[in-house]
Amino acid sequence: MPEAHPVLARHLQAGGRDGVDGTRALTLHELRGWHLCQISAFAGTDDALRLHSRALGAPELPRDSRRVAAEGDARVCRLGAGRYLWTAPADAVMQRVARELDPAAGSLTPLSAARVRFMVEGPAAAQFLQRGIALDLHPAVFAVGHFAQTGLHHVPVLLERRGEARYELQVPTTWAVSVWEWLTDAALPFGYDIGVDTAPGL
Amino acid sequence: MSRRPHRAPAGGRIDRSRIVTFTLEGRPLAGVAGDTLASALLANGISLVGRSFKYHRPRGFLGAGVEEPNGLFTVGRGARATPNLPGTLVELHEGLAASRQNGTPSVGFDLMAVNDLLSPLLGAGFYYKTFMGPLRGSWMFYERFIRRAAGLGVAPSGPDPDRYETRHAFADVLVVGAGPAGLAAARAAGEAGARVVLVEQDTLAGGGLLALSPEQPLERWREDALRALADLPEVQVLTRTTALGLYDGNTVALLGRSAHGEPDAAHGEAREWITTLRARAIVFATGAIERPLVFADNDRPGVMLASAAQAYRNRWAVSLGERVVLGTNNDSGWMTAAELARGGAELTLIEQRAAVTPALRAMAEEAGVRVHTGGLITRAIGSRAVRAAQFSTGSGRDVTLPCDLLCMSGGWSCSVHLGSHTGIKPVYRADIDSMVPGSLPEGQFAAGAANGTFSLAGAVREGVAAGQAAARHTGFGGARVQADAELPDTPYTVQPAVLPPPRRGKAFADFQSDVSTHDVQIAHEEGFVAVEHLKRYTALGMATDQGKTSNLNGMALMAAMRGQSPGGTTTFRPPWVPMSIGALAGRSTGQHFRPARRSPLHDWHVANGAVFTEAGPWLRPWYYRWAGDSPESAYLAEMHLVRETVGISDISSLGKIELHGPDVGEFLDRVYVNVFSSLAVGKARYGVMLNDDATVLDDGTCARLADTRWFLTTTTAQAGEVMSHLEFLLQTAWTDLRVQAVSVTDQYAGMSVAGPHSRKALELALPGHDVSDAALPHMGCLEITHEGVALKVLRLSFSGELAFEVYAPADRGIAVWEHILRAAAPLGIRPYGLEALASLRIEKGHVAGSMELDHRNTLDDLGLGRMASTRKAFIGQELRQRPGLQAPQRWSLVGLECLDPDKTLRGGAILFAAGDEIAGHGRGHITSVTWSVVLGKTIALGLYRGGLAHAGEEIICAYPLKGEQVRARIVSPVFIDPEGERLHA
Repeated sequence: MPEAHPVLARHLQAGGRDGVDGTRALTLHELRGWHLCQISAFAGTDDALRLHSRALGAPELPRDSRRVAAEGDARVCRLGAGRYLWTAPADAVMQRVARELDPAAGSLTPLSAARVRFMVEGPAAAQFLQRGIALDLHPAVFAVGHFAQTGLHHVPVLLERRGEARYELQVPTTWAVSVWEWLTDAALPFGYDIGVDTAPGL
Repeated sequence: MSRRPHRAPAGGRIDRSRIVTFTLEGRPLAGVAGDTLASALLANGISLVGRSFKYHRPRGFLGAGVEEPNGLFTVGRGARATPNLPGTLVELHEGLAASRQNGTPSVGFDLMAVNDLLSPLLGAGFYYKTFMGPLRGSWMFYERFIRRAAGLGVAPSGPDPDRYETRHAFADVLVVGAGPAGLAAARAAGEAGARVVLVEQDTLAGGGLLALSPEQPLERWREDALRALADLPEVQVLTRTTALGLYDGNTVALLGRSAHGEPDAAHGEAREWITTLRARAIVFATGAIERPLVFADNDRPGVMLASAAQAYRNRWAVSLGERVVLGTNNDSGWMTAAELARGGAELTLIEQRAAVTPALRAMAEEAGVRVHTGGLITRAIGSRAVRAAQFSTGSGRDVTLPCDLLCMSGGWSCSVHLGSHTGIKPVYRADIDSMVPGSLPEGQFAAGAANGTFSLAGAVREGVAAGQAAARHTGFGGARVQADAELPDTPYTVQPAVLPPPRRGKAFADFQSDVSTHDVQIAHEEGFVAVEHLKRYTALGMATDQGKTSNLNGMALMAAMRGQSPGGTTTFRPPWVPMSIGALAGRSTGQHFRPARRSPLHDWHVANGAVFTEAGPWLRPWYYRWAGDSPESAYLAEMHLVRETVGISDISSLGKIELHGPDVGEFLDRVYVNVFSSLAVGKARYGVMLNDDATVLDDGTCARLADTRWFLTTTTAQAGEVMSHLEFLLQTAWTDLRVQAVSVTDQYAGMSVAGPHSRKALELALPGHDVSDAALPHMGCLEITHEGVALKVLRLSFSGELAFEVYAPADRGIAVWEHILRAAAPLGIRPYGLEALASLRIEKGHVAGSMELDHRNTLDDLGLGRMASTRKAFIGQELRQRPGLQAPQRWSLVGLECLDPDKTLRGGAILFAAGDEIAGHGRGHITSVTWSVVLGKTIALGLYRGGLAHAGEEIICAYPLKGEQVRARIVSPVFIDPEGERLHA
């Protein structure tokens, strides 16, 4: 199989930078080694989709549009009525659902190549993200496990709080370089390290 | 004031151990840490700080804070220089370079001061009356001279090297102003559990308390309050942060400033930043600003607000006068007089009121203040520095008192600006002679001096109450009430200032705009009655200080001339203080101005000689250097490649949408003008969709990959719009249809393999897969897996040649692209760019987004009317029949061949029939132009009135911007292969 070409490959070589005080208070990592798809119901088939996809081994589809549902290594966000974004380290189950899902109940669209995922981590992560994201990231409002579809640098992104000082961004692939350039520029005063995470379960 | 040093030997909130050196017009000076530029200059005995805007009169500092209208400086060197900064707001830092403004050649010796002598000619309305004639357009002549003479500082021309940022923040309660009321409000709201942000424009919290001696007992209250706030984890105190404007939804723009004089931009340290703060409740504790008195020559250096003199004395240990005259009409003036007298000044108080309370008299007497009640300051004597004050006694006698500082205390104006930014009109309160906030909406509160409460204890009480109310509004209650028993509860009374017309000299109402009582008189005599009109006619309140010291006096002057009490006010607008353009821009400069969208193949293009061009948000390969070093030569070589052998082009920017569901066919039938429901699996069809008004929205192709799975492509230009259109219809109009639309534009890299050898190229690249005409006919599609990569292969042509589109997952795009290039190398395959792509389609007569598809043209205009199905309904079907859209004289698509071999056609050229006068909008315009490598001439597509009914006619293509006229002939827009033999090969 031809080798995958990560769109940030060239940009990650630039390395990190020291901040104003000479330290590096943030880490900006690209996550690799995962699969992503959208699983969708049609009008009135949400329950059927839940049953069928579950029977085929898909994770439980959440009803909450604010919290990520985690099941094993799989993570599912409810993007809207009948629309779910499903991330997993392997795509065997996704492929099975794509093949065998009752076409009257719903559909599955592979999107693994359509998004780039970043992890932003560090005590100043929220303060850093607030340079560009117009969402209240206070833990009482945006707790660990919460996600939101929002905008960063004019680009639609999906933001998830993965830990107290850890956030994940999903960015459309074709915008990823511009968002990365924005992130590294905004991170400059804080200082940052960059890297790639390929650990399963990310 | 003399030029002797004025720094008192002790006191102030300054750090005398840290000497700070700076320059004024290159002259080295020294201040200390904690100084502002203003306090440092005054400490150095420099009182002439600028020339006035219009009359070039010598000016000194009027204030000590945000209200300062006179002392505006250019600070910084080179591209970092910032003009028009009030010296009172500039923190002194090591190496600061300042220069005074508006002096020709210098502020000390200003030739333009002749304007003061010409002032009888330069009153209000001067420009309007003088420079409008004698001819229409005369202003354009005068303007360059006026522009040269007007203005204050000069903006630098180089790019600003500093860094600016924008941020977002949220709070339950925002408290604006960290004076006594603000500190109390923040503490009350914080103790109730609310998340509080307290913003203060000053470098220190304390507001009016900072103008008191740090040794006095109230300092303990300030420090206690700050300690209490520091102990509250959900309370943030932001100094050097100015609330610039209030917007809908309790959104406030905050301007933050770096504490460093020269922040380290290389390491990302910002000089200024704008924070968009969204609060659930706001407490306005913005304080009040003292008003000047209006008397002759009240703008002389050494004439100053009393509160400013007190602040310079107590905060910065700068004593500005030994013999001080203070004119007042209110109790605050008495307290300031006593404070200055206790500091050692010989002080004479001129009180407008005939009688005051015994307590005030006793205080003055105890402090050694000489008092004249019933008196009015009538004139300041002196030129570059005040030497004496003239006042009239209650009995009408004129008295001249020598002095080196003349203080004015004309009452206090509540800072109501922010609260009124959203349209809440302030209201006039006669008892305090000030505007106060109007009826604030739910979730907004005012406290302290901003609300007309001037006693310290009263302000704190109101602050506590406002803080608690704001906390309650956001769902937090139960704050304890703070003990304020120790705070003084001194009443404040004021009598509206008497504003006598000066017997000689100018009495200024607005210092920064040089508006005098005479100007207000002119406006009155010319019939202006509304304050808003007065403002525009005289420029009162229109300068960078926005009339902070002048609005009420201007209104009072006009009211007095009309025999009324002050009423109405001008409209306050953001920003509250002047701000830099850099802060507005934030990081949205250079490459961060807007994001660029890059193809999944971008890195390959970069590494292989592509020259890029912007296509909407996309960066696309314009041409490749293998084909030439200039676009003019390269695109022709690339066109030859496609017409003669085979080329490969990146088409990843096309909008790509996957449609799923049993009803997709029906859905597409309604969306497109032609039928899709009958399309067989494995086939694709070209389609056009219309807007509701029957103009063309977009064109593209849709392939049926499986019974319920479709793959739709849009033009690059309309990709987002089409996706929104489909979503809108599915979510609002046809919720019964079982269809899901998912954008997969980012999921797939797209490449077009085009040219007579394109099938051979794919056969080489995809061995084992049948791409023959039988297996993959024109408008056919395949899904295959090659070397583990799932590919979609569609046989479509944009160029008119035999061509295929190959879609691969974005992360495998480069690998697939390189694989095709490698495999088909024996055929001479090369990449071609956007210029060639667009030119090839012109030869074939294909319309394209943004050029021919401009949301104004109908299906028939573009020659596509026969596509419209008569067997089913579609969006735009009915409105398409409107007579106006069926008129034969509509502009419709034509081809154009250039008839002047030594000339070229230009996109945008206006089309005229032979014999027409070359003027106006003509009969159409050219939409796309190229050199045809097939025909060897310049060809174009255009829209022409009557369209192909004029085929064969010779017309004129005029390009007025260059004065060009070129002859062309109207022909079919399909310049090559009208029978489609090439693409069906």
